[in-house]
Amino acid sequence: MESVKHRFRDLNNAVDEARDVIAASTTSWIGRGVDSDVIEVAKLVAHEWIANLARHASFGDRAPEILLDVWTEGTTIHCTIEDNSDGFDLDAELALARSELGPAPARGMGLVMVSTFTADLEYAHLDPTHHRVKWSVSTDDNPHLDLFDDPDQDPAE
Amino acid sequence: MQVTTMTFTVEPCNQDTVIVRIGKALDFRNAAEFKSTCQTQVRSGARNFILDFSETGILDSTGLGSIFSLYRQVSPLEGQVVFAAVSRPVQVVVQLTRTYKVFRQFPSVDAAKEALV
Repeated sequence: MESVKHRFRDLNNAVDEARDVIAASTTSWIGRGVDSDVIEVAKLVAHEWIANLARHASFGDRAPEILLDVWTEGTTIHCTIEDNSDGFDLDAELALARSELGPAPARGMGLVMVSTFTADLEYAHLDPTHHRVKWSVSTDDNPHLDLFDDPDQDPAE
Repeated sequence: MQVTTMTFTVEPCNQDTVIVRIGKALDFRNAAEFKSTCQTQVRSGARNFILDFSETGILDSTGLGSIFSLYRQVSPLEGQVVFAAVSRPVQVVVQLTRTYKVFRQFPSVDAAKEALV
């Protein structure tokens, strides 16, 4: 399936541009049977990943560069996002975020959402300044992150 | 008196209820402004917040976290945070995060006002 690629150099606008790139394919993807809500999930996950880069990544003295590649296969949306940051330890960050996540959390949900709402999440360090995350979202999946699943704890506390 | 910030419009309904019109996005770029806007309203006596999502195309984890902060702030004061006119992109986030368990949803701002005021 033909993929849609886009390169971003402005971190401040990358989130909106990524959403626009995905949104531009909405009509043709829906025509191929991809659910519109799955497209919203893809936009949200791309947003969360790029927002995480914009807020937390270190690019040293390099001009930031992000490459989005998105394509469909049946009712599944596949996506890779490459960047030239210093990278980070996704497993460690996820473990920390999950351990600190209580009901109705004020922060720390971004990477947990990325992990929970996607399938086949992989984060590869291709070289010290080249990293690639890969994930997919599908109509067949029914992911959720229940932020209120502790019956013993009042989320307002 | 209606208050308009960079991205939000706050419209009082009565002494303790306000409508916050979220606009195009509530995300990591304006969540701090949302928190600060709401804190000002709480200090002025607001306890119930109707969040109007009719125009909203983006709600991310940071935006959701700022709503949870507001919820934690007003709950001990017997206040409520409710969602009105929820757009499809926001509804997807609400469903994915099971947020509907805590925040009541209304089809329109008028319906929310009727329930709260």
